[in-house]
Amino acid sequence: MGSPMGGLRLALRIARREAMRYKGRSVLSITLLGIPILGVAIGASAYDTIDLSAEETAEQHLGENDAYIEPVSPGEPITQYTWDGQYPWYDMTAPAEGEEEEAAPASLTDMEVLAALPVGSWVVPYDLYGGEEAQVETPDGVGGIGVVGYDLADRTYEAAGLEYLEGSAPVRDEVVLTAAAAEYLEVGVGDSITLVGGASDEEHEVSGIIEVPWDLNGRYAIASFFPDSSSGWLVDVPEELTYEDALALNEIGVTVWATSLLDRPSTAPDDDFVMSPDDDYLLTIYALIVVVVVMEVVLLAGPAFAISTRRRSREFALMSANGATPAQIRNTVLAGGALFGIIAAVAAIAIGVAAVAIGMPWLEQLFGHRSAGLRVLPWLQAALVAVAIGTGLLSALAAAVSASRVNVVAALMGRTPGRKGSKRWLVIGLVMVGAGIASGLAGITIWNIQLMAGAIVLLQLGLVSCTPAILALTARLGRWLPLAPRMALREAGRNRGSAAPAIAAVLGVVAGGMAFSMVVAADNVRMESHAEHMLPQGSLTLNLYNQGDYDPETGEMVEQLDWDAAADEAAVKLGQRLDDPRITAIPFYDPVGSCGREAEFPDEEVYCDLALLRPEANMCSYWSSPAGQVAAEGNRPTEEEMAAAVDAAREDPRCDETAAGDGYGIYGVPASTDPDIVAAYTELEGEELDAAVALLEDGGVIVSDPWAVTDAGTAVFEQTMQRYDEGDGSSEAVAVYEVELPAMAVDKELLGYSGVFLGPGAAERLGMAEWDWGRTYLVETSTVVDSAVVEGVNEDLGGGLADGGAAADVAMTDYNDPFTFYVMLAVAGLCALITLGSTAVSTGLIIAEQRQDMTTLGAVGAGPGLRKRFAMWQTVMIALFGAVLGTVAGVLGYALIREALNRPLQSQYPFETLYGWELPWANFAIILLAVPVIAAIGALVFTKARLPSERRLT
Amino acid sequence: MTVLHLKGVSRVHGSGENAVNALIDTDLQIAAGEFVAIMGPSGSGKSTLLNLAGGLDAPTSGEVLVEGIVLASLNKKKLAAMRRRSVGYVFQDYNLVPSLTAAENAALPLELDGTGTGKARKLALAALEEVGLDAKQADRFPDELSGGQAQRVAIARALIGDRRLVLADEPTGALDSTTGEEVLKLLRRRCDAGAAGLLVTHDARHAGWADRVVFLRDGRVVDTSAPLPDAETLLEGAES
Repeated sequence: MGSPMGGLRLALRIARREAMRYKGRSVLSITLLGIPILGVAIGASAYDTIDLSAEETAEQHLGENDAYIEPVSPGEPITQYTWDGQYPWYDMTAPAEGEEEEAAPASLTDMEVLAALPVGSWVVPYDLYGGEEAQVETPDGVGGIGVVGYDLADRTYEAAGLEYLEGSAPVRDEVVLTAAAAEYLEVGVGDSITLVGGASDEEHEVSGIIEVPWDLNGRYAIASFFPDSSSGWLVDVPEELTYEDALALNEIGVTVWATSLLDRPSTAPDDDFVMSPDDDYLLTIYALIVVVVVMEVVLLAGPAFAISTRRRSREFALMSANGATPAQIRNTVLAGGALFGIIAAVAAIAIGVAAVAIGMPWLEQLFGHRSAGLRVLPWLQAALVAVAIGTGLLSALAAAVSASRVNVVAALMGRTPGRKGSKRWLVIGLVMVGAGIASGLAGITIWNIQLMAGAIVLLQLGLVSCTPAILALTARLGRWLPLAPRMALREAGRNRGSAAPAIAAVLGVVAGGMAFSMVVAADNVRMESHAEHMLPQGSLTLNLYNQGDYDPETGEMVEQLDWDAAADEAAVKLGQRLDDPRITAIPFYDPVGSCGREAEFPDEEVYCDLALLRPEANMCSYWSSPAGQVAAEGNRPTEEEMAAAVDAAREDPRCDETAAGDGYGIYGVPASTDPDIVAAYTELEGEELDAAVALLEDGGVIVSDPWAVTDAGTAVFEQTMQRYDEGDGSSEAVAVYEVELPAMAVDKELLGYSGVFLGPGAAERLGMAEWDWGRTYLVETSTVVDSAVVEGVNEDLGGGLADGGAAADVAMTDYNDPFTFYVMLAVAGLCALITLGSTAVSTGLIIAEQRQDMTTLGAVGAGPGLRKRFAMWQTVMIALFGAVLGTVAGVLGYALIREALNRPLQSQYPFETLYGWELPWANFAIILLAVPVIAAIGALVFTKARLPSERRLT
Repeated sequence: MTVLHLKGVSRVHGSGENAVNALIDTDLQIAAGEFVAIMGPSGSGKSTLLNLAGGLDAPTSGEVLVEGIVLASLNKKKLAAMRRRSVGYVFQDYNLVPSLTAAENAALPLELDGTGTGKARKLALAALEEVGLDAKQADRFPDELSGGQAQRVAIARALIGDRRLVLADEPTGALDSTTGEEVLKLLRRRCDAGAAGLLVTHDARHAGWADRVVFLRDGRVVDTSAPLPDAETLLEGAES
């Protein structure tokens, strides 16, 4: 009896030699198996390379120093859980009655900090957040960088890892720049930078360029004369900073990042770190993605094995004649799958790791910190090898089973065995489709993701199993077709062993691509429904910003800007690129202070919240339901209460809360009676627009919530006066007023999150005031404005206005998400490419099998064009079958995915926008129309017209 | 000792109106050391008989026994083992595995049977030497061999180990006459050494190497004879 190892060696040897004999096919299979592995290998290696351990993070931030300390709650004790003081716990408890609360100091001095540290410690100010913002001249105008007040002559900074790439520490009025700042400003050592925006411009020579290893993208200038904006101190202690030292610092409200604390386990509450049900849900989704990707790869790589097996049927018959058991023949094919899997994994991992090694500088820039060297996450890479071998084996499985059942006599005689089994496969396929649908329905009913995942797999495999039978059935339609398509159809039916795997491959990739595209399209609609809609698509606005300072006492700008002069100046700059620019101011209003009710609160400071009320009769039934009342009290209703309330709300037209603003108050509300502005925001025309303008002029208001308008044609606003308690940070409502204004409603999608457009009179009655920090203008021009024009205008405006007192930019309203568009295009492109590749390969192989028939046709007088036409129809057949079946599978798959995604959203109120049936028509068109046409053209162009002559085949 | 025994064997392909009787109620015995040739026109059932003898095909009725074992009583695994150890095939088209060298092709049944690679190669080299191929040719792939060399490899594979039954289906069909004669000499020598040989051929001269000639027509054995000095006479006799 044969030993398993001996048989395995033989199988592997044959597989290896076969792979070498048919290099093209081998490379194709290995590539298909390797591409997903490559993606994961790159991701895993990149993650492991850029992710720093606590020790490495400490090393990068502290260097040779002992600690970095940061006063997060000066004077107040805190509890620190981790070595780096993440998530410190503040004691928020109010002092006991009668107990005087001690006034906490606003900050700590060096001396206070040193007092809490061991004797002989040394501290220098340090900033983790990029310093104070300053304006600086850039090659394109004026930009912002940070300025940090360090005395770099102190060796503590160098010990912290701040490394000079060029030059040396600054003296006198010199500065040192970070590498990112130097690149941004396009300066080097010896050049000068000019700080603007102060009383006068300051020019400083650059003495050195440094790299901060944990902040590669930080743009800042460092010099001792810059103001101290440090977030904490770097600490060097004579011995080691102990846990007790850290506790002493915590006592005065200071967190500690210290290498010596690394060994202490985190004391954070456990519940922050346990896996939540959401994690479980995500894990299932990830598992589902892995299953689907493996299945797509199996479907893609499978045809190469199937076709190879068909070609080698005589070889397998010969092995059988020499005593090979079916298992040994099966193993020979499976060895090919395993071999390809191993090669694919090793090659993909090698390429992936090399790509990460080459791309490490880019990766470090992207994440903004240095890595600790190239790493590969070995356990995951080992798992990838296992997955690749598994995928290779699965890809070869069907072919292996088919090879072990080869009709020895027929194969040795060179005959094509009779076509059997279509009906059996049809039955199996239909059973699998049925089981898939049942599994899907069951999964939806009892909410089981595993059943839904199983349904997707069963549906696809079921359709794949039906493919030979569908081909055989369709071949019967051939009698009504001209010769070339008739032959193509019948050959696809006859050579199901070649055509079906190719169709399965196309089916697999189209199904995956379609389902993914539909999820992306539906998600895009959901995102759009959340986006704030203000001006119409393509509107151009000019924005001016007051660059002056705020008065911390009054909260108002210290210097009022001459907005009209700044706007005139901006208009001139717009005119450099735009024809006939006309700007119209759009005043924006916010509630200010106590909304004009200061007289009613002479002794206390209150602020005003504004809200638009609905009449009681127009309130959604949800809010009066048990669930709504529980939720209104800030508690969580039970699932049953919630389901009942949401179900009832769905039947209630008043429950369309998408019309009722975002619930976060009324801020940044446009207010105007200019018909152009009103029309732009409300999209009203003609008499409706005239009526709206008249209403606004009469002190009225336009709202986007029709249920907010009373029967009397008014809207009621609620002004809630809040008293802020500086002690515990809480607010308390001290008075509520209602203001009723004439109102009309427009489309619920309009008017942004606040859902309100005011007349100036209404704004005044509501106690709102125009922004003093900025102005917005609607820009009209005869120039066709695109992103390049916008970029150009912004370059012109980059230098600022009003002698640096104002900054300006223009923006074009664009609600489209280009990312979604590109993702969908990429998915469609990938599907198209694989479809074209699959059809081309299988068509080529089928035509190779037709060599004898073509010779016969040539002998009886067929013209050379017949071969081309035959190839074209063969290609169209495969592409169309695959695309149609794939689309069906994709749509069915999406139906299940949609249910899975919508289920958690359906029990929410206000209603969450659900994943809908957004059909990606462009993708459908590309896959169902463009791809077959391109494949047909490709077949016509690349197929040799000459009919083959017989040659000896060995 | 009888190595191959066909007892009332029939083979029908298809069913109903499409049924084709490829072999009808055929009896045949071949003893150890005996070399039997099968002749007959195309479609007479020669290859069917050979396939049934080697267990590649199963009879519709009757029994095939190899070394006293009824093939129908064996499951697929045992049947494969029987082919590895007892039966050697030689085909007209050489039928070598293209991804294996000559030596590996010759050693294929042994390797499939679990013999170690080294030992299998040693035996294969010996078998190849027996058919006139040296070690250099042994490491060539099939597409690097001439037709005669390839057929020698196929014979070496059929003879390797302790095979007791050698089945040859037109083994000289693709060879020139000189090479063909050499191939038949090899088969004859193997039978003289104790194996039972069954040769399917169209060529009466090749049948002349056999101890006995069985003539088939329309699936039936129509004559059995010892070889005549003039093989053409045999053919005339069969047609009368």
